Amino acid sequence: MSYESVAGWAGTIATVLFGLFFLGMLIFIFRPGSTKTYEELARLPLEDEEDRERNNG
Amino acid sequence: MGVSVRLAQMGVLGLFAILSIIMMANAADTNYAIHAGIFLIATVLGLIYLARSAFKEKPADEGEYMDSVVRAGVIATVFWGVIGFFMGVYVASELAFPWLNWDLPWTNFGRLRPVHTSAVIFAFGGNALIATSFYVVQRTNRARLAFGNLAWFVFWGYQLFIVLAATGYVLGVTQSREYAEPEWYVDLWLTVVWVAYFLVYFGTIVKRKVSHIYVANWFYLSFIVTIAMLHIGNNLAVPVSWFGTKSYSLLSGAPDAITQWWYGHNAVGFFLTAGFLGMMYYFVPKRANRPVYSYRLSIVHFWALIFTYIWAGPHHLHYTALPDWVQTLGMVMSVVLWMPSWGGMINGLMTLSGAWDKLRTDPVLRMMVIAVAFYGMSTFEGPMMSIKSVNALSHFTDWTVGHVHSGALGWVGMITMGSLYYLVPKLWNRERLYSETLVSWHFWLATLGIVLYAASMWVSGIMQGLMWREYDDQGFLVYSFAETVEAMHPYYVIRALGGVLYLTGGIIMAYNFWQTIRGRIRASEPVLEAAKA
Repeated sequence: MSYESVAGWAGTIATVLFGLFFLGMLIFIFRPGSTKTYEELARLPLEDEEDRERNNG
Repeated sequence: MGVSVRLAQMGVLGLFAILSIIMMANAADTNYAIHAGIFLIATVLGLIYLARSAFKEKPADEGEYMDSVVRAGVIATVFWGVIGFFMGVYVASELAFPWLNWDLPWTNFGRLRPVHTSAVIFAFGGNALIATSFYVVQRTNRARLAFGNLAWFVFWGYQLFIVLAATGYVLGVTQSREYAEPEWYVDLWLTVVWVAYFLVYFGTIVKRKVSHIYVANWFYLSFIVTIAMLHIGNNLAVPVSWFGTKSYSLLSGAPDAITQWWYGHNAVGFFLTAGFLGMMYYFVPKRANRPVYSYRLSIVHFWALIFTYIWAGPHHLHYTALPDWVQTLGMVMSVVLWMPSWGGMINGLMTLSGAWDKLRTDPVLRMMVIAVAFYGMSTFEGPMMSIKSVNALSHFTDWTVGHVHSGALGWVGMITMGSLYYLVPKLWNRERLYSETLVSWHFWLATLGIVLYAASMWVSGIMQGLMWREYDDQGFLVYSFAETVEAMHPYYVIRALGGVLYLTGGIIMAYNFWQTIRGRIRASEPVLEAAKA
């Protein structure tokens, strides 16, 4: 096996793997019923301790 | 903090002190001895501090969050920011008026330029990233910083790195790799500091009390991990002696060049972009008091950005000895970057949808929004300039310099300063900033400064590129190099003026923070609703 053939194959395999990972990520984040989850997660920084105190006070 | 822990810390510092004495005694050149001396002073100061605090019971910063180190980081950010902006104005003035070199080796453009670039990127930007990341990681994970005072080591170790780098440049110590000029021993020190930074940051995420890791942390973490990888890869070098400043790169020729720009462009991608996007994903929602526009989009933004950026470096080496296919790959990947960049920009801007009126009343939010707008503009310009035929005109001209500054002054500077304006009243427990009017002044001075800077560099850069490639009908070059330099003089003056405006804004900010920290409020101003939100 020459360097060129290994480098070529490794590049192709890595491209396919990264492509699949990205596609899998897209499918995962659009899974049914996830809209509500992500809306809640987006509020994570807005619900700090100090802000809760501020809102109560 | 137990006495035994303090003694162990002092032991480590003591070993470093002995090491620096050995380095100083055996130094092969004066600059190495000076740097060993600086290192010795730093370790002795550390030892004195530890010795004084070891045996007295002090109610240290033991609250829910460790904010003392963040406060120090904010002060360091402002301090280095003003110095870095001033150095920028100075080197810009040297280009317009070369007598400012003073014919001295220490003050010529070649030595002062890296002082400016390192001061703004690593001292101002780096301290801003470390400080805000320590703030954000604690808040979004509801956990105190991990490993106790290691965060303080990160802070002071990083300042020592900055001092060693800057003094080295002035004295002529450089390995000539752009944005990575410090020599091998300073690189080793930064590696130690960076590993500690990673441990503190990652350790805090591990300790978290919420199940999900908020997206801002992903960006900060990718910045920390990738910079570690880039720093080590780019700085593989063989020192001539363990007791001398000089080293030689492990690689040579085209592999060395592409390693340099693999590092260089990803310093833009992961230091100046991913890290500051972490800032955007936390501080814009906080200031606008609204969740990010689309959390899904932020996830796509993250993965698309980090998968693509790492390939973009070759566009710095168009039409060189670099293999043609690598150049094309770099160009294509740079153009692909349009999508994640603009996805992120839309996500940041649309966070304000339904709250656009706040822009009218809140200058801090205005600053953050113009930062995101500049992010969009410079990430549009960049891919365009990476296209080979455009690059044939723009490469080595001032257009590149203008592009970098619309990203650096516009995106990095504005998002940092906007975040600082949000942070300072919170960190020092003040009701609000000393003056919102001064924030408005800062906003307009900085924006006008960027406009002058970018516009003058567009004109001068394109003019320069066109003059270089102008042939007469005999096939001779029409202009000599010196003629292009002469033609650029007025634009250099305008650029320096833009820098002065930006620097003035920075000084106003420092004054505003100084008064805020002292607990003052400018009485003549109406208290804006946004400032209390």
